[in-house]
Amino acid sequence: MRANDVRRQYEIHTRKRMLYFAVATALLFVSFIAGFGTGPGTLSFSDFLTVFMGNGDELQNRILFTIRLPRLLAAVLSGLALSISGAIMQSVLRNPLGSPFTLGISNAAAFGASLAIMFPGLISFLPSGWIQQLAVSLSAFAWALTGCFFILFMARQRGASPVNIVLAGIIASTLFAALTSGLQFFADDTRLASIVYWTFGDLSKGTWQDLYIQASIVLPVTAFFMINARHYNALNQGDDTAHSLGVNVKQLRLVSMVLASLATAAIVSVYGMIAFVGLVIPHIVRRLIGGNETYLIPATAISGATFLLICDIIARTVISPVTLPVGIVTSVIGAPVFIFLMIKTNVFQWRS
Amino acid sequence: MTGTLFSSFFYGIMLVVSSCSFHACSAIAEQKEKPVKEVTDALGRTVAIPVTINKIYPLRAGALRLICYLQAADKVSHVELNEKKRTVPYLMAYPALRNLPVLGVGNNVDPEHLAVSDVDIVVATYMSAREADALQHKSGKPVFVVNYGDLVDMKQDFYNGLQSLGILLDRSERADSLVSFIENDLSEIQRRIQHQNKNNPAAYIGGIAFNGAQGITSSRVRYPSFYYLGIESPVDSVAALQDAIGAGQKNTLLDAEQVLAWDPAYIFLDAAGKDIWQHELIRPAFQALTASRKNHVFSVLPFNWHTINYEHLLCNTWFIGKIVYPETFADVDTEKRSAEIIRYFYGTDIFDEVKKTYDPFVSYRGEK
Repeated sequence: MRANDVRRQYEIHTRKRMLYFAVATALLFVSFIAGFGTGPGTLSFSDFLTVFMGNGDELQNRILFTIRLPRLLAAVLSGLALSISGAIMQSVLRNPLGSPFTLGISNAAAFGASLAIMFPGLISFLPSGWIQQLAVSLSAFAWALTGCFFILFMARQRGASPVNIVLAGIIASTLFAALTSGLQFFADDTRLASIVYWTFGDLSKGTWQDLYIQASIVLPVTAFFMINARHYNALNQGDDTAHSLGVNVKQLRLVSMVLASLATAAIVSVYGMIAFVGLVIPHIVRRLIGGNETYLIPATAISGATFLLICDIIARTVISPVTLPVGIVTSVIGAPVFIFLMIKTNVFQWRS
Repeated sequence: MTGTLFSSFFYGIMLVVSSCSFHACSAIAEQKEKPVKEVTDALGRTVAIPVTINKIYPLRAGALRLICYLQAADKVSHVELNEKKRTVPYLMAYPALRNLPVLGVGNNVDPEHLAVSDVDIVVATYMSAREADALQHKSGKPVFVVNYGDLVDMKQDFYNGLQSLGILLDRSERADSLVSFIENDLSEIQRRIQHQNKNNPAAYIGGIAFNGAQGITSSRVRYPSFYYLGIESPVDSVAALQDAIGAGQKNTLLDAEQVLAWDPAYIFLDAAGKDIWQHELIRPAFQALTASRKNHVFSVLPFNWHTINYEHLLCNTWFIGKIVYPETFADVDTEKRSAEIIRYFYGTDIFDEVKKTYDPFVSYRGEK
């Protein structure tokens, strides 16, 4: 009798999970298509076919292939990278407040990129174009790693309790934000405009080269997280349990944090700060389908991509013809959702 | 099931990323068959521009001002949203610019909106080559970058900007005559002060806008009016601030105590910060300054509002000259000269409106 109950509950849970995947994936495709159709350039859906077959005029081709498609893919990749980084950081630190933004890693990456923009002399020996962009990204990554090691150091020294991690995150965010402001204060007008432009969080900035670089970083990192889902599940039972199950806890934690920082830096260095995606999406998904990482990671990836696509559509339409930076939209939507979550569920007593 | 779903999503992205790039390349290769000519902008970029330009979109600080200087405002087709609410002389001279269709809020523009607009060319200031290339690549509109310059160390950049825009917009004569007007004005001022053997007076400039309006303590290294009048500003003697010029930053926020310690003979306050500095001036510490007691505190026209107002700088230089060297400039009627300068820059008489807006060249005793 009891066994039956448990089984029934499990079946309901599984069905709920499948339903979530189906709905999220459908929503992803719908918002991707909707994103295609959104913009000032009038392109009907039948036009798309024409343009995709290579029969569009110069303007249609440009709008589709150099503006809209890179922008949509940027939304998908960024949403995926940021939310999955958040989910992994929450898991390996066993902390509900982990996310690239709250841990200061986004700010650190922003500082690294600002530094490269502020002192172009450091990268001017490189051939121009995408290699210089790569250098900006590398600088962002180097500083994101610094932020990441700081958090890991604090976690090791004082334990990864929510309070410690939040405090360390506040310290890191504030410090790197201050350093970026310092750079802005001394920047000349042209570089200032560059840095400010870039800190807004805007998905229209990316080019195909940026997308290649990002995809070649983010997708393997995602694959790594997926492959290690079982180990994250073990880690959720505590370090000792994980250890007894054959997981190299120290190594997994380190490698995961580094890879999550790398994915974050790849996004932040091109599109700027996009807040809240990494924090809110894993929470919502976790609440809806439970904490099993095998499902949580792909569900987070799909949901993050969908969320950012929708935010981007809102950013482009809400006060058209003026386009809002998407970072503003994610924060404005993310903050109330997070407050709602905090009230409805006690996130501070989060368990896997 | 889940795994399959996710992998298909995963590979979907890879497929789309790789397959579409092929289309992207072929899309760029097709260029519109419009007569174009190649020009080089301030960053050394070669830009293919239409032979006839009738629709300009000025992007970022000061670009619209330069176009107005060249009397090409009628060729502007779109403005940034922020221009609609800005109070600046070029919009007083050409108020119709406020009614133009909007592209972007300010500084940034959505490439798709730009792509579908009928803009012939983007004239941008304060933009790096990377940003300009990216915007041009995405929007398909030529992006011509000018160096806005200043009136001291980067004067040649300013002149080059005017002249390159002059060629671009078929206003070369106008650009040349602007440059010689400014040069004549500056050399006339320098001619007047060259026999000034007295110790150079010390004066301080405050209230300079820097990321918005600022108070008395916001100053500027090598303030152009002081530079051409041989006036020594205590700000220029601070070695650290001289170093800051190397980093490109000339605006500087000082400690109020430092300003009090310098106790300069003259204090000029930029009208852009009036709302702030008029409350600071009534503080006892500032009342005790020599300049306050001797009635040597004056307002001047805004220097740095949406970057440099060159016409204001020339007016300020005449005014400051007359205050500091009364004999040398005895024959000058500052207001008349200012009205002439502004009329020359914009082609219309707007000095009354400028005066009403900024209330410049007024002595402040710091009392209400």
